[in-house]
Amino acid sequence: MTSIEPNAAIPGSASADLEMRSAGVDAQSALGTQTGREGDPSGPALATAADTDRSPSDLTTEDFPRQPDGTAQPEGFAPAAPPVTPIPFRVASGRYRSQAVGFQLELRVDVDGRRPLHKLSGDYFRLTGATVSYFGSWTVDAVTVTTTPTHVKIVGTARTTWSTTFTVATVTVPRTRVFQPAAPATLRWSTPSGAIGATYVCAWEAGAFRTVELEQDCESAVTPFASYNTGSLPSGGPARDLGIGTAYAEAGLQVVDTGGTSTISTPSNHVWNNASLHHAMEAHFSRRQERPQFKVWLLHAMRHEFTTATSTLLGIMFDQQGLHRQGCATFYERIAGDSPINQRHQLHTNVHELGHCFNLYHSFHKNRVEPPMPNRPGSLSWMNYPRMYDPGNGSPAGEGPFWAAFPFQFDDLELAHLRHGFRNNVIMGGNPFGTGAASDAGEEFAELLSDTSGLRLRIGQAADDRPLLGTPVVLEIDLTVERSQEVNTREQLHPKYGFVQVAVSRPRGDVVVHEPPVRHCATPDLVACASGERLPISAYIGYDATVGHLFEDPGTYRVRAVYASPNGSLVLSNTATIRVGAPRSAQEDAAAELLLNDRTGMAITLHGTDSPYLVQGTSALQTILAEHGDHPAAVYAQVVLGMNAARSFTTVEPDGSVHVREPDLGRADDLLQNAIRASRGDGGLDDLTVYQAGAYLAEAHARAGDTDGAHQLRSEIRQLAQSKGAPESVVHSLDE
Amino acid sequence: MQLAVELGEGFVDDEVTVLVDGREEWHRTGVTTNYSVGIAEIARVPAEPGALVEVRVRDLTSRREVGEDPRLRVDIDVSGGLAMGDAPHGDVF
Repeated sequence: MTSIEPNAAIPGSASADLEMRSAGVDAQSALGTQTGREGDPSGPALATAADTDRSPSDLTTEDFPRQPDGTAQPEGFAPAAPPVTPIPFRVASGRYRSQAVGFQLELRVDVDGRRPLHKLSGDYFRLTGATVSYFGSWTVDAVTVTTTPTHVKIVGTARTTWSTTFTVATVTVPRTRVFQPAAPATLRWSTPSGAIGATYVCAWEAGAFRTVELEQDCESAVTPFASYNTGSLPSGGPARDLGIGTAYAEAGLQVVDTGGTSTISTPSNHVWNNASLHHAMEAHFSRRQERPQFKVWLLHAMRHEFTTATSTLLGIMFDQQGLHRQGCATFYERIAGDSPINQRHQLHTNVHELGHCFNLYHSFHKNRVEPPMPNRPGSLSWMNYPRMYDPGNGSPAGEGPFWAAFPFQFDDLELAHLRHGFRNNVIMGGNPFGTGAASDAGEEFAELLSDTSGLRLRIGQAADDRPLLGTPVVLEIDLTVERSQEVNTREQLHPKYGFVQVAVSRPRGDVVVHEPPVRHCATPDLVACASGERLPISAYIGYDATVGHLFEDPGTYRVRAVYASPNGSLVLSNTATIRVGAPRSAQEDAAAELLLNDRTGMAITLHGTDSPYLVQGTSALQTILAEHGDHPAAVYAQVVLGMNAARSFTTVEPDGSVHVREPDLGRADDLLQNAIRASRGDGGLDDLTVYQAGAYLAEAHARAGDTDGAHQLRSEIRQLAQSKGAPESVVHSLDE
Repeated sequence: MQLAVELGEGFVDDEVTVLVDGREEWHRTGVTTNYSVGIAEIARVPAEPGALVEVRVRDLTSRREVGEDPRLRVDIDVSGGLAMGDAPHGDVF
């Protein structure tokens, strides 16, 4: 899925001279005149910036760095400035965006303004057909800045979430005065040896590095926090009014309150727990979707069940179901009211809980992050507990010293995460809470930001939602056509045809794009589908050509699929969670050993085999059947061995002679009928595999000349499918 | 009295059993620490001062005699050790 990468140049293309482009007037006059990127977004021709430059009258406080008193003013523009003072330059820092052609770049420049971190970062979005998806992120951790009268030039080497040799970023921002429109920033990629890659021209978008929508709801009887003046009590920073939005604005993030706060009526003395909070979020968070988005829900409530006699729970990021970090809550039972101390608690707790939604851990829990980092108990940060504050070296620790020195801000490392962390590490609904390291997982789980393909892809584990270690993992892949169009046949939605790809994020921390061991090379076989038609298919994905057994550890796996439709759209599925349970007995452990053998995995992939090279796998399946009949995998062993028995097997001997083992219909009947019977209730195989096994057996009977037997089998399976409400495409596939 | 056994840090999809004087009083699977509060679950069990509380998780066991404090804290440290002790007082958020 990443054969084209956005930093590279098109071979043979000329690279325009960056210095020429980077001069403000030249770059701006070039906008809209560049061509040649339509065919390949990674080419060297300029990506024209969106024509979103604003007039001076459009300037907002977002354009200006914050003053010590919390107000926003143009840099150098004190009210008493003498009229002869030169008009100052705009800051270069902020968020820029290239035009949405092929790859779109969101560029973040952080070299001046408030608490500059001297970093660059960006996110790429890929436009394919009628879909837009996140592609990957990059960060330059340390930059060299050169400022001339005409421009600011920033150079550094990037870490990326995808593989590229074009890692040297050179960003040029023409200098403009504060009352001029912001100039576009030009990013040129190159290799460390100087080979030129792609160039992007990005229009200025905002002073904030990221923008987040905040939806707040309130439990009845709770007065939600509004703002606190940090001068009300001694502190370590300048006095200013801080609310949630202004606290995050100081960090360089724009938090937009979406309004519409509603009151959630609860009985008096209501006590929340995490499940009820999650339910409330699903019911009241109007902008919530089960996908990553910079949108978050905050509930102002009274009391949580984790409060005990000597400890009060003031807040929690409760959302650890499905996609994490989309909601949090603050509890006012001990901090309600307008006393300065309580108002300070309310401010601290609200900003702190939202920090968790951005995937920040406590200052004293950083060693629990994946990957771990040292704790910072001496951090004067929103994410520390005052009572846990310990600057070390015998300096005063605890609540008093914390509040006396706390400047009401995030520490620098947290700021870097918020502003420049890889998108999936920061965005709500991205990586699980605590998984915040640079990872290459992002592109494989890229979220579609826009999808007008008229197709919907759903995946889920076909059978047991918590398979025991070793049990074959079968995925149900279900394509729904929401607008009449041609799509691949149901059969071709199996990953072995390559039109659907499956990625698996494993508990060991890696992400595997599943490579089926057996590939079917086929031209697209298209079928016209009416609106509403469903094409579900089941696919064994447990064994992989590259890594072997995909599900070889107990733990939680996240699975996602993408379908490359005939019109070029990439239709992304939901994320399915599969929890693989650990063996609980010596018997189960022994069964797992047999099933996780490489040859067993290959034998299952092939639906059984007589091959002497895989005899160990076949033997393992026979042992499962004979000695572990109660194991959930036994029914899969029946299917695999039964399907193999239902067909002939040809062996070419070393001397060149050919030996054909004929089908053993009696054995096939025993095994497959038993498997089908065992799956009529809740356990056993999933429905689609049952239909497949039945149809396979019927076909074997037909090949053997038993047309009556074949007819009866098909009829039974067809009736079963109809009784279970199988989609028409499935029932139709069972026709004779 | 009702004893609050606070299952704190280090729990990951664990099966946890709490026994009081050898009798199983609380059992749950899928116990996972929420690091926004450093707590996975609070097991509330009947236990009088002097009773022996035992927590079992994975292949680890920890025991402690109940004192006057109605709270106990159990953590699994980063090296995988199980520790039971007094629960810290103060706000959690």
